[in-house]
Amino acid sequence: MTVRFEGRVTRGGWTLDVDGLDIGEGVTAVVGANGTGKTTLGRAVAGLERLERGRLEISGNVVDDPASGVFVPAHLRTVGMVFQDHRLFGHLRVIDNVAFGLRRAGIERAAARRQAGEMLERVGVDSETWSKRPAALSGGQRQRVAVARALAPEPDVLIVDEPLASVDAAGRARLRSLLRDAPASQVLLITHDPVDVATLARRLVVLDAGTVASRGSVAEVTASPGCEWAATFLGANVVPGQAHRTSVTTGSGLVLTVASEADGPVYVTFPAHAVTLHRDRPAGSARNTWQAELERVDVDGERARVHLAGPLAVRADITRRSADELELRPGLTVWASLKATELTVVT
Amino acid sequence: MRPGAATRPISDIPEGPLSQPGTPARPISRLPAALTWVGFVALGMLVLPIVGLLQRAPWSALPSILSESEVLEALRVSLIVSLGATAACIVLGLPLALVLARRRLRFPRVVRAVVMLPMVLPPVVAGTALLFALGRRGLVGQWLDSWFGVSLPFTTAGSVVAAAFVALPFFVVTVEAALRQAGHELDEAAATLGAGAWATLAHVTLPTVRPALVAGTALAWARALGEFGATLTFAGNFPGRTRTLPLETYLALERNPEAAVAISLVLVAVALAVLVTLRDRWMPS
Amino acid sequence: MAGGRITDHRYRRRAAGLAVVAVVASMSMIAAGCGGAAGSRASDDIVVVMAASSLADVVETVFEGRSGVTPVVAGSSTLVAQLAAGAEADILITASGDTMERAVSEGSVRGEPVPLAANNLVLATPAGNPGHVTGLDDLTRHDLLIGLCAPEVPCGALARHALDEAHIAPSTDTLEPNVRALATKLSLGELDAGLVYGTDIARAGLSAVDAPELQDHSNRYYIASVSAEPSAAVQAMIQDFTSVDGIGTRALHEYGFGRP
Repeated sequence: MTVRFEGRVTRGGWTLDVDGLDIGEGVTAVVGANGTGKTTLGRAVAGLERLERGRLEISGNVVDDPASGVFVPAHLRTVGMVFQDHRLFGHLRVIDNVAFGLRRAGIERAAARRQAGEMLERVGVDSETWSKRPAALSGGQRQRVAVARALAPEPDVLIVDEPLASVDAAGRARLRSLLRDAPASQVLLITHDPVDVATLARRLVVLDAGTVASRGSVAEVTASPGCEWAATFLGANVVPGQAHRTSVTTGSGLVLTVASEADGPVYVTFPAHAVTLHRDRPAGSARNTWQAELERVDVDGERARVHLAGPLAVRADITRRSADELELRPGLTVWASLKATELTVVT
Repeated sequence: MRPGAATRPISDIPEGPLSQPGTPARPISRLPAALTWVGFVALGMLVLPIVGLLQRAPWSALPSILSESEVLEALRVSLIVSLGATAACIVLGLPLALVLARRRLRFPRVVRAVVMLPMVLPPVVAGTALLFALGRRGLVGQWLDSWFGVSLPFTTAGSVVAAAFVALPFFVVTVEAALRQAGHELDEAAATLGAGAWATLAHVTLPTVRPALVAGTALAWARALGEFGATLTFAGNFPGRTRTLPLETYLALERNPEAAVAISLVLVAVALAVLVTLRDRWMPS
Repeated sequence: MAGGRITDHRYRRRAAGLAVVAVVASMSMIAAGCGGAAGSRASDDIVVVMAASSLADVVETVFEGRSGVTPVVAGSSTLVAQLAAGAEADILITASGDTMERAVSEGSVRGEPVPLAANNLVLATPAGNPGHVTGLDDLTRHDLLIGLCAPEVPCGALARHALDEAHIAPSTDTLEPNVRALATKLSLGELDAGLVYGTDIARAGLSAVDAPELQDHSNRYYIASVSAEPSAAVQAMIQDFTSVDGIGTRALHEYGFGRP
């Protein structure tokens, strides 16, 4: 049960050229800067774009192969899609939006509505909302309905385009857990959000200028991101914790001070270059400073990426010269510090 | 979820459209006062001739004039012709609107201009053009005549064709604009949910543009009901067959102007009743 | 506050005034466009001739290039109505005795009406007579498409009268609202036979079929001076149409009109 993609797609002047990509079970995150072809990849798999050349297989069936004239249209593929702009049917009630795919599969109305209701409960849309029209919903509610609608017909492959952009805090955690255990065997998660990658993705595909820059497990791709954008994006540290006002207590007990107030479970994110390293305890502010064990140093050109263990498993990007001056080597104990203003709290 | 756990059983959710949300408070007018005045003057220009008609109406003689067999017959022909033409507009116009809105055409501007031509063509010219095309000696009509023995001029079917020709653009233009505005995004979403081309059309595309379908149908029908020149030129004028209310009115004007006014009143009343009903029921105001 | 109110009122009044002026101006333009042509005389030297629209070709032939004449062509009843409404003209030519009679009884025409031409009812077919029509009886054939003028208009009234007298019940397919529309449909071959005026035969390129029953059924044209004491120029012009070899008489003949 995999998606095999090899070939070229052109959409609105952009070209995506993939030299052979296997998307396995579980959640695969597709990341890349804007205009690198992430959405085009998703649309091609869903059958909304045709390959110019190449071949696309889903679960062992060829669904697009221009050379032999095969093209299975979108409605005959077992691929569901959650669109960035929701695309709910304005003339249908919430429950009938979700029942839509089931009805098309030949399930009669009452049964389809019953299953749709179950799916809506799973995504956390309460039954008072079911008879409303999409226009009456908040952005977060619409997004959840869109996810429920795509999941209801139980597709083999689920494509989710920027899923968490417009969802409120409570909904985000719920949607994440839903996507993690989605009934679809494969989820293609097109995202901009490092937290999505950190919490959901089993594998990563990095797109850069219409080609695959890197692919593999999250660890493999993080080690070899393939392009500058991905290096920065994947260098971002994501630390879960419990927030109370401007303090976030991390799993190890280390308390981080942040600039914005929050309460409850959160993720604290910060770029790798925001971490400063010192041989001795830095003077001045004692906040957001901790002692860490240096695990490994990857040198890439002028940049050195330092992997730290200890209370927080984080990455720090420093210049190669600083790394030489600090005489960094694995096993060394260093001081790490972070400015509160560099930290982003994500609920 | 257990069945029945919902606060409201699913079977209770009605199928029909939701009631309209309450009318929002009227915003403070930002219109220049002069514009408002001119707007009302324009309204006056539309209403004044109708008032003129009402003022000259032979109210006491109305029942006897309108129960004349010729008038009733013309009313019957008018209803058959206008409803037939409206049906033709829907059956032919909907596919055309879909093609115009969804397909990539080679010369889209030219094609759209051609679609709108009957709107600007003087109806008599439209009728003559129809004779050239579909008449017994016409471009296509001669083959219809010699192969199938079908001749459209001077038949009720011919009146329907003429009325449909002039009414079609009203339907197509209205529906095409709505389809363009709706975009194809919802169609794509339907496809990823397993809806084929026909299912998408029936369950997503058409329901989405329903107000425009209703408006286009109403406009086409109104145009067909009032159609005079093209019908007369192409289909002629014979009581019970091709003489519609507008033709009856025109001839009555020569014979008895009072009767002409009375018959026009019927046209105005029928059209007004249908358009007002449609607006209230189907078109979001 | 008070000042603001006053300005506001003034503004409103001015705006309303503008709108009214605009509408009145546009309406008067429309009125001028519609009625202005009706026989307003540029000077006393110019003779204004009002003629029925079926004489359009004749009038053009007679008066083309001639100075001192302004022809006005419209339907007979329209011309009579315009004269009654005060339009100035010197000569009136109508397509029927009825309309001339009305002009005389309304006092618009004070000269003596004289018949100048007749337009005979003719059994017409498309050029070449594809339906093989041989006489008035063929108007009852159901295999032919037959057109007449509607009885509400003169040519239709005439046709009905003639057919009634001949005891023929035609199998009519259309009752055209004017004779030109009927002639056009005949010339296009959409109709096989119909009753039109003699003048339409040549104009529309039709074939005429001999029908003795129609001999005495024609429309008479009348000419009259508007004034009781016509000028010499007006008298001469009437002569052109009434004398046997007048330029108008010849033109009438040329376009298919018969003698009165």
